[in-house]
Amino acid sequence: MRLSELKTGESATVVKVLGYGGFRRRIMEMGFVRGQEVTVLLDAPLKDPIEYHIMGYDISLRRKEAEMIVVMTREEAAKISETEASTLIDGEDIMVEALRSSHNHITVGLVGNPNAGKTSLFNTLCGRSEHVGNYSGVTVDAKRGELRYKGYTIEITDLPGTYALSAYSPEEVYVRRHIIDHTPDIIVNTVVASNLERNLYLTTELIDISPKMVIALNMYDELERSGAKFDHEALGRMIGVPIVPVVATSGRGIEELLDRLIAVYENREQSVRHIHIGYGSIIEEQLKDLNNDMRQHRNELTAHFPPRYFALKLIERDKEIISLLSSAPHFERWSAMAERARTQIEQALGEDIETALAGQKYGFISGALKETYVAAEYKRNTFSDKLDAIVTHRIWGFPIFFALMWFMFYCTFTLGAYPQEWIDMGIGWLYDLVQGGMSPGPLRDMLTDGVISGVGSVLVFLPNIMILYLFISLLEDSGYLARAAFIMDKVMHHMGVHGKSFIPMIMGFGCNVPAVMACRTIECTTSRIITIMVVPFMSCSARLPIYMMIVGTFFKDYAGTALFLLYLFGMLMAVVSARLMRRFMFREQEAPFVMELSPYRVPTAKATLRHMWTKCAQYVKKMGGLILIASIIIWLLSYYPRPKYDNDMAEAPNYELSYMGQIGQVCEPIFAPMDMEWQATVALISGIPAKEIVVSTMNVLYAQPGDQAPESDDELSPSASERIANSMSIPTAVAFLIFSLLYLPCIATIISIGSELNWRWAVGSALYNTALAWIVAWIGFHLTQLIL
Amino acid sequence: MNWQEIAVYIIGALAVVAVVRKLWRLFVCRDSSACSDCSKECPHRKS
Repeated sequence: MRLSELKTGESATVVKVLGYGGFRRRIMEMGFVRGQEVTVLLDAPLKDPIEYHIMGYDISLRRKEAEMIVVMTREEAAKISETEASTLIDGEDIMVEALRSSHNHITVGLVGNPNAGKTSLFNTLCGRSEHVGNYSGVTVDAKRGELRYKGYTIEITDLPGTYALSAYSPEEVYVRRHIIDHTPDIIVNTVVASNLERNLYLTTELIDISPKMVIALNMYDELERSGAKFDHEALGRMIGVPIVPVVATSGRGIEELLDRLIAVYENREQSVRHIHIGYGSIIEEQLKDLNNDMRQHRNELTAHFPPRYFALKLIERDKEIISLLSSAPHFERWSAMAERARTQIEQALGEDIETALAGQKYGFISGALKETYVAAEYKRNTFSDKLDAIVTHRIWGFPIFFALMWFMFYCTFTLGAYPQEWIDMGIGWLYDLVQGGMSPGPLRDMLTDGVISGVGSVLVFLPNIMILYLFISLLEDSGYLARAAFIMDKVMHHMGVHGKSFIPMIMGFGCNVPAVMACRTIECTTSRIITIMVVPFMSCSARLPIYMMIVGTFFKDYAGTALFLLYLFGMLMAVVSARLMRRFMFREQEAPFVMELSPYRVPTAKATLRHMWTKCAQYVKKMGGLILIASIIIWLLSYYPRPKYDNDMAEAPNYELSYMGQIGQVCEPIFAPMDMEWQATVALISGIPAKEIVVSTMNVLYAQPGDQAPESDDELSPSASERIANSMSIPTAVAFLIFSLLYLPCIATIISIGSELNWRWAVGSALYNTALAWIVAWIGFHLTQLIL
Repeated sequence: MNWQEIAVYIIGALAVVAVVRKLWRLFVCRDSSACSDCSKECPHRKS
């Protein structure tokens, strides 16, 4: 816990002091060193300052200073000793043991530019399988993992990628806030070896805030292959930060990285020293006065950053820093000084302050690299260039993109059919086993018609989901997804959104929830809102079983193409909706398109299979969780009430009189214009929590007790499949498909929209999607009737 | 009421409890994985 959290009269032992050099030194000189006991004597009336007793004398600290001191109470020490299975009993020894254990706990913040391989590094370090991809902005939230190494517990937080630490984009604010709130012991700055100049810009910003830092020079193999020469040790000595070459995907250099990280933490690393980035005589001259004034009143500043950083950010008019300092007594004076300095710098240099500072930082990087880096001869016409010339060609780009999409859905259906057959047979065997092995009764009916039919009918599509995710993973990891966004940029602009919006939309084919979250990388607010609102039109993998069920029953001969057209139709509806929103709701223009085209990389089998495995494990887990529960509830509602169970198993449940039948008959008029029966109506309603439930509901409602096992070449048990075919005409099937494609997203997506935007948008999305789905399904029904 | 019917009622009640628990986590954590695969820093994950 932090010292500031202790109450009056409580005691604790100092574990460590956080914060930057000068502040840390001063606090430690006062006696706040590891192992010293500190007692709270008095909280001032306004809760600031607080009086403490340490090393035999009384001292008062401001609350924000006390927040930077980590302490441990006896209760915490006892808990740690218990979890460490210590055999020590004596009170003192418990504290010593707990202190040693807490000292060996290192918190690490993993930062770096977007697409620098932070998540790959995180996965390798922590043995995790968080999603990675070859495009910017894969990580939109902090992920935490832990590893044990040489007696240390290292807790790593993977942070979203950022180019700088200003308050320009949400990720920048997020990363800086994380550093302020969590004060990691070490920052691991991931730098792409093949793109040093741009990646080191963030390093200069990190140097300004003076954390303990190690640079992980990732993708070092690419630098070696390019023929470039880089003396990373020399650059490390120059900037006072150890640099370790690593290849995150293969694990090369990871041990050295951890060793150096521990050495920095233990203050044993030789190359560590604090430097200032020089901003040139004009800026430095103006910065000096403000910096000195802030130094004199440093107790008014938070201890997270040095005064020089605060001075720089005030001159830059950084909103977050202004709000952080606004309560300081000298804030007005500092603001005036900063404004004066800003005006004088801009007049003297003839350019705005942001340009001047960026220029100086790049000048520093360029100077440092001149002495340590010899670039390889720039090769034009590399494989990446040749491939780009084809896939981003202004004429061929689109046909290639659509051909790839068609191929993806074709394979999803055709290749998936074989393993699907085997699972189907397994489920049929299990059905027969339970049916024959149990005495007749409601439990047997629940297991066969509810659990096995309901869960089995969804589980059978697992191979198709696997193939779909395999393709999505290949698209993401190879770098093609960023190219697809590039070629779609013009189309997206016509829609009224950002080119970057295309990536969340494609991710939506997998699952709409991460796709909605991925919209955080879109800087322009209106583009972000529009993209979030149209993401649910992208058919997620949960909707695939519905399509497979209906397409497999009605359009089996050209199933791949039918699937492709469905996905394309979803995209078309997204385009139309986005255009309407831009036209009537957000008239201002979107920000210019900035999208990195990172080089193509051959996706590694390990990463691709891990991605596929994670997604499939989630799907199977969902079967054992939500789908199982829903199948049981749907079965119960369709089985009861029964007049009296008389053990006559030949009696079929009277579905129409059941609770589900009554609900269906109430809702039936909604879909009556499309000739849909109540079973289909109920199935669509049951899909609100998760779309797969539509399939399990259809199977439960259309199944009858005593059904035979499904035949290998059908998606559903024969009678259920036949009954669906008999109860729906082709126009009704088309309307059912269109409605399933467009109606309100699952609860998880609605909640994601609510948390990313607000509840009005979430409710608006649900209502708009459902209304649009009904209208378009009705049009589809009548058009198909006309055509047939 | 025979034993199969009693078992069905118990399973049904457990299913309803599971739904309520799942929804609660979904709304509180705002994450579709409702704790199973989530790695967010969140107090509910421990529960």
